[in-house]
Amino acid sequence: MVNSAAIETQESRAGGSPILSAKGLSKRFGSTRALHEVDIELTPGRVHALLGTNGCGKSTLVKVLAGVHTADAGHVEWHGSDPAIAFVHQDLGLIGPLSVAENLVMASADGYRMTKGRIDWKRGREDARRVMQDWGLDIDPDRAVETYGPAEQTMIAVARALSSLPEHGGVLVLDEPTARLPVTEADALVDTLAELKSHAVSILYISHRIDEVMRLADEITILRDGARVYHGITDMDRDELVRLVVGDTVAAVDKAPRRQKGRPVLQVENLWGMRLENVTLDVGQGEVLGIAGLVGSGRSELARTIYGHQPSLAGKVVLNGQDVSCASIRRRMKAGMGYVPQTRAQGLLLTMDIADNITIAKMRDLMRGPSISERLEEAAAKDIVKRMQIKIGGLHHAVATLSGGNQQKVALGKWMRRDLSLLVLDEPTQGIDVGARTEIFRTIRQLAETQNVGVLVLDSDLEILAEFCDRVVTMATGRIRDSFDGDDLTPAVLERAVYGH
Amino acid sequence: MTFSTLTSRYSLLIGLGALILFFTAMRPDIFPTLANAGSIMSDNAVLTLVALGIMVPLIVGQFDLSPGFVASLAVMMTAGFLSEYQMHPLLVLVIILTVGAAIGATMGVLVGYLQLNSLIVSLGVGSVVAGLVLLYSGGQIIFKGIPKDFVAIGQTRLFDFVPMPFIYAIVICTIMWFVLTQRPAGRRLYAVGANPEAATLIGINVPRSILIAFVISSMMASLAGFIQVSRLGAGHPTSAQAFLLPAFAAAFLGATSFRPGFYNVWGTFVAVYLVGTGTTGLFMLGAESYVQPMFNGVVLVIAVVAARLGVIRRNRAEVAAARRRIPEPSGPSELQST
Repeated sequence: MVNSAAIETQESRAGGSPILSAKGLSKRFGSTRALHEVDIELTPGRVHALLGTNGCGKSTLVKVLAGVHTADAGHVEWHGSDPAIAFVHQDLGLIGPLSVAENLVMASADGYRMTKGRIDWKRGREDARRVMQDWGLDIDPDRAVETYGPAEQTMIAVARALSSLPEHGGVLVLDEPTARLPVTEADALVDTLAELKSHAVSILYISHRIDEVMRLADEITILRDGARVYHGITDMDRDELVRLVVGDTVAAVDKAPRRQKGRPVLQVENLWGMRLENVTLDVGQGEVLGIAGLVGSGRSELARTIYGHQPSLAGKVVLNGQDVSCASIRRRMKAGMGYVPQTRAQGLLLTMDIADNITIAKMRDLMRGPSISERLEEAAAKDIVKRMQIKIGGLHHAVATLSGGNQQKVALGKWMRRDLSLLVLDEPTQGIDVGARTEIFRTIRQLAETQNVGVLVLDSDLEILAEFCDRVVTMATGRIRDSFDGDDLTPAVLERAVYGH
Repeated sequence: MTFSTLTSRYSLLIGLGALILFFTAMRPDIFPTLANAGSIMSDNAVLTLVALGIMVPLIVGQFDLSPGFVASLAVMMTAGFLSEYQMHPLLVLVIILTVGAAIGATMGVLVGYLQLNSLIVSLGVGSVVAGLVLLYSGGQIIFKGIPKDFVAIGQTRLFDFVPMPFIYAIVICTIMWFVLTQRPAGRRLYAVGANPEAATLIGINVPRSILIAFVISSMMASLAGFIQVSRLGAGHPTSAQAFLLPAFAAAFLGATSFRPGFYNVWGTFVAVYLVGTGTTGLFMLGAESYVQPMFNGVVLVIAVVAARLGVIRRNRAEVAAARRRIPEPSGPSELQST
C-alpha cells in the first residue's frame, strides 16, 4: 500500500483523479460474506453515495477503507496523500455544554495551539469563526453546542471532522447524517452539504434516503449482500434506484397463516409525542403486529410511549378498553402490558442471577408464608427456562454469563409469568444470530396463538417481520405510513416501503 | 459446593477466627477473657446498626455520608430529652426515629426524585445536621440526669455475659436479612441497584426505592444514637461521628463474603466484628491511638481491592473456560485465504 502510493504521487493532484481507490475488496466474518470484490473510488470535490439495506456491507466497507478491518483480499490505495479520513457518525459525538470553538479545537489536526504555555483560545475562536463563515453558516463559535438544533449540530460535527483533515483533501465519511432529522431540517442540511463540493475534500455519503442522495451525490455505489450491484451516476429513475437497493427479493419465506384478528387489546388514537405525529393503530387479541421503519423513524418512541416510559403529549392509549394514557408503568403492567426494551442492558439485571431476572416481574405466587420460597422460585424459573429453551449453566449463574440470544430469552421469559394481554417488543433480535432470531419469533408467535396475547414488535429484519407478523405497518419521521397484511406482506414490499421514504 | 468456593464465601468468618486466635496467642492474659469478649460485642453493636443502615442506600446504588451526624443528633436529643424533660424513653425513641425518618426523607427526595448526586446531598444534609447538634448541645456533654433504668437498656448483660446491645444488633440483622432476602421488597431494592433503568421497566418505582433506602439509613443511625446513650450513660456531641468510615469499611468488606458481589447483612455483621476485634487486639498489643483510623482505612481499601480481585478472578475463569472449548490450537485461519 505504501509503495503504490509513492509510485502514483505524480498524477495525484490532477483534477478529477481519485484520492483513494479500492479494488476487489473482500471480507468474510466466519461464514458470513460481508464484502465480495467491491471496487470504489473517491474523488476530491465529489460526493460518492453508498446505498444499501441494513447488513449489505456498507459499514464493513467503510471500516476496511478506514483501516479498522483488514480486507481478506483486494487493496486500498491512497494517491498522493497519507491516509486521512474523518467520520461523522449518527451520534455526533459533540460535547454539548462546551462551545462550538472548544469542540472544534479539540479535534483539529494541529491539536491545541499554545501561546506562552497556554491554549490560544483567541486563535481557536477565530479559526472556528472563519470555518463557519467559509460555509456561510450562521453559527456563533462562543455558543454552547447544545443550544443549537440537530441540523446545525450536524454541521458543527461536519466542520469538526473537516478541521481534523489536512488542508488539501482527505476523505470525509458521513454516516446517515439525516437519519434523525425531520424532513425539513434534512433538506436544509443537504443544501449546506452541497456547499462542501467546492472544497478539496472527497465525501463518502451513506444514507437510506433516496431523494437526498439523488440531489446531493455525483455518483452512486449500491451494495447488496456484500457485492457491488451498481456503480454510476445519478441520472436514473427513482423507482429503478429503489429496486436496485432492495433487489428482486422473492417472497420465498414460509408465512405463518394470517388470522382474523380478534377484539382489539390495544387501541392507540391520535398519539403525539416528542417524535411521534398523530399515530393511530390497534392490535387485536392474538395478533402479531410488526412495525417497520429505519432508525429515527419514531418506532422506538412509539413503543416506549405505549408502555409509559416516555410521556405522550396528546392522544390516547387504550388497553382492553381501559384508558391508560397517563398511567404509570406499574399500572400498565397490572392492566396486562409487558415490554422488552431495545438493548439487553436496559432489560436485564445483569449482575443478578437468572432466577432473579425471571421472577422479578412477579413474586407474589412464590411466597410461602411471609417469605419467598426458594423451591417455588427455582421451579418457576426452571419452567420458563424449559418453555423458552434457554441454555443455561445453572439457575443461579449471573445472567451476564449467557449469550445474547439466551439473555433475550430471559428478558422475554419473565413476562410469561404474568397475565399478559399485550407484549411490546423493541428489536427483540438485535445482535442475535439468525438461528436464535427465528426461535425467538417462533416463541412470540406461539404466545400470540396459544394465549391470545396481542404482540407489537419492532424489528429491522424485514424478512422476519414478513414471515411472522399478521400485519406490518411502516413508520417514517414519526408517522405511520403504510399497512400491509395478507398477500401484500412480503419482504420486498416492506423494503420498498421502508427504504423508499 | 467445592471447598474453595466455601472458603471464599466464608472468608470473613475464617478471617475473624484467625484474628481471634492470633490475639489470643499474643496476649493470652487479657484478650481471651469473657470481659473482653463482652466489651467487643457491646462496643461494636452500635456500629453494626450504622453499617446496616448505610448498606441499604448502597444496595440501591447510592452513598449516604450523613449517618455519623444523624447518630450524633440522636445521641444529643436522647440525652437531652431524658435529662431535661424527663421524658419516657419510649417517647424519646419515637421522636428521634421520626426525626431520623424526616432527615432520610429529605435526602431521599433530593436523590431519588430530583436525581441529585447522593454524595453531595448526604454531605450537605449531614453538615446541616451537624450544625443542629451544636445548636442543641452547645458542644457540651450531657451526663447528668440520665435515668438508671434507661442505662439498663444498654448495660444489662444476658446471663451476665452477652450485652443487650449485641442482642439488639442480632435482632435487627435478622429482620433486615429477612426483608432484604426473603421479601419481594428486598429483591426490588437489589434490582434498583443492579440496573435502575431495567428496574423502572419492570414497574419498580425507583425514586421511591431510593427514598425508602435513605429513610431506613437515617432511622438506623438514630436508633444507633439512642442505644449509644444507653450504653455510655451520657451524650457526647461528636461521639457518633467516627462511625462513618468503619461502617463503610464493614459494608464493603461484607460484600466480599456470604453473598459475594452483593452488599449483605451477615457479611456486614461479621465485618464489623472483624474490624472491631482487630482494633481492640491492636490496642492490647500496645498500639497507640493513631493506629485505629489507619487500620480502618486499610480495611476499607483492602475490601474494595478484594472485591475487584473477585471480579477479575471470575472473568479469568470465564476466559479459561472459553479457551478450553477451542478444539485445536493451530487450525487454518480464515484470514490467510488469499
